[in-house]
Amino acid sequence: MGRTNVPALDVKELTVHYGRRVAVDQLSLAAAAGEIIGLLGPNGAGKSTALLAIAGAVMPSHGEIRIDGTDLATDPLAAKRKVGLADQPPSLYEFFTLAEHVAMIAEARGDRDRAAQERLLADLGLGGVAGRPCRELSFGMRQRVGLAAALVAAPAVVLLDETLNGLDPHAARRARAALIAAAERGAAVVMSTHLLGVAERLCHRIVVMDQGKVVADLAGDELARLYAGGVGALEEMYVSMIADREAS
Amino acid sequence: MTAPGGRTLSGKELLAWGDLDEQRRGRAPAWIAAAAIGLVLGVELARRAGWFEGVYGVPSATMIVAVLLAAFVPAMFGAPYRMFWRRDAPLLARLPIAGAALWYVAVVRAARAAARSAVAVAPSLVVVAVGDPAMAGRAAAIAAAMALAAIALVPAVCLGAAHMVATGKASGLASAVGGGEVQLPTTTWLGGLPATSIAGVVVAAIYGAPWIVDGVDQAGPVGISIVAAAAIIAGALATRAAPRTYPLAMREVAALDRQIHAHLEIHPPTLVERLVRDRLGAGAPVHDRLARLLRRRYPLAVFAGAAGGAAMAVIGVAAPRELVAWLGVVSAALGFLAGWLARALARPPLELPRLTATLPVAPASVAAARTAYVATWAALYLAAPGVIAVAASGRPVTAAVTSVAGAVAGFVLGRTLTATS
Repeated sequence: MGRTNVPALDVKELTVHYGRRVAVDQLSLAAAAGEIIGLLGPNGAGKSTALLAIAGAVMPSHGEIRIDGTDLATDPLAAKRKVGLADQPPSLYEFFTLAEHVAMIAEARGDRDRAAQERLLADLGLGGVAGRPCRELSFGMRQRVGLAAALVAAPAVVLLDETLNGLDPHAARRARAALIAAAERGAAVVMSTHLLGVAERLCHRIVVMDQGKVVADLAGDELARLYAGGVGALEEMYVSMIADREAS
Repeated sequence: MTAPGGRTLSGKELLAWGDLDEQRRGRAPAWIAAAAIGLVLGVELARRAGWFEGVYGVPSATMIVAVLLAAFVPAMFGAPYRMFWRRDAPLLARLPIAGAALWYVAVVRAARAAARSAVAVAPSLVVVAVGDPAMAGRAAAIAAAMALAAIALVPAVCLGAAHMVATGKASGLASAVGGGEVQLPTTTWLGGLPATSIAGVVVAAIYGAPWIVDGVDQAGPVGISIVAAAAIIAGALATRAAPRTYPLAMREVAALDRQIHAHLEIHPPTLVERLVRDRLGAGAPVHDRLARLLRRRYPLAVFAGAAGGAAMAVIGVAAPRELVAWLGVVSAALGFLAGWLARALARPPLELPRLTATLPVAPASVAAARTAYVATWAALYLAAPGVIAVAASGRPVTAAVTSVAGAVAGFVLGRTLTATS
């Protein structure tokens, strides 16, 4: 992993309001280059909103976001060039071919290397359908196109909002490999997911959010000790930590 | 690590991607439609100028202004839809696209719309020029001012309104004026400010009618000079401000669904909506949903409807010399809006066909709910003021037939031209 002193992602006291409701509350999160972070939490915990704010798609009420050292508030264009988001559901130009959609996103980030885009699509198992319009794609394929759009042009920070959901086993394996490759070239990956098994296999660090706040942040030895508890240890920790509000 | 250091999308490149998207969507042939409408208007003006009787006179100034308004007002009203309320706005908002590039695309799209309007008025100006070249020159001057407004003034006002919303100045202003008690919905500003600027342009064009005829009346030149100057100044200010303000404005407006609509006060249905809903049976929930979503997503439809209806009633009561023609034009404009509305209610973001198909509501009930909404809108903003205008016109049969014909033609045109937008 190509780690440097400057965090690839540095979020301080991020707060986002939806009207009077606080969606994200004083979230602080730093991700090193090459780190893959699993963002867990119940529905409505603020994970998607946090990712949207980090990607520059939602205005924070308070806080600071730095992408690879660039302040999103003071230099949004430079910061946005270094971040890729796969949102949910993926925002696609329905009438573009898959290759055109990815090319447009890449050009927006300043990358016109079509060969690299083709390689990326091939890595994600989309090479054979690159000429198909996005509107004709299945759910899993759309997820993968969203992932390709997040990864294209090698951004310093890759944000995934439940992007690994709905993939067949082959596609899931390819997606995991692409994320690991991105981390190995030095990208910080933050992926929100409810697939705890995937989080266990892929993530160097687990951050749990609830009601807009970070309630747990496990990495290194702490995470290793948790995983030593065997299969399902992460789920047990999650269930013990997050109350099932629907049941109450 | 850093992302590639190449340049990001220029305005031309962004425009080319947008053009490709629209081309793939199979957009209605807007240029051909503009030319066809222009020919129809030109033939009507020629008929009124006596061409069919072998007299090459000039049509009335009222008719000329009506043609100008019919051609340019839709181009102006389209500005916020070309700038912010686009399908790809959420994606564009989070990509590193410079404000200058976004503004370039907005201006080019506005210029194209204005050019289509110019195509629509060209045959009419030719008719006028045959009878009186100087008069045609004055009409062209008003057309040029309206084109400038469509290209620069209205987009600049849209940008300003969106920036006010994005920076919180809009709500601050409402609170200041209302003593802290007033909280106008965001969409009011996004629709209201552009609509106000368009109303100003329309008033200036109407005031220009006597000048078209005599070339002496001073109100016309003053009005269009003000419009032209405002357009140039607003355009220059917006060009200067766009690099900083447009991305911010785009992000905020694009996030309306997520951020603003998430906490929208849930209005109970209005009295009219309740009356209609209660007669729809299984389609009632569909009607409720459409009514709420339309108010939030396309507030301009209500503004424009109310403005058009008011104009129609005023025309009837004021009884200008070309009353019937005016009624026809306004009816056609409102009919066009109703046609667009019928399309908008049947597609995202107001309608989600796949979701609706899974709900236990018969397709006939869904269709009935849509029809009822459009019919109610037309009854409120077209039929009711139309009845007032027709009754006050002194020529009820001619006025009624012209109004109905205009409304039907506008409706068909609106449905056709907005089929894929």
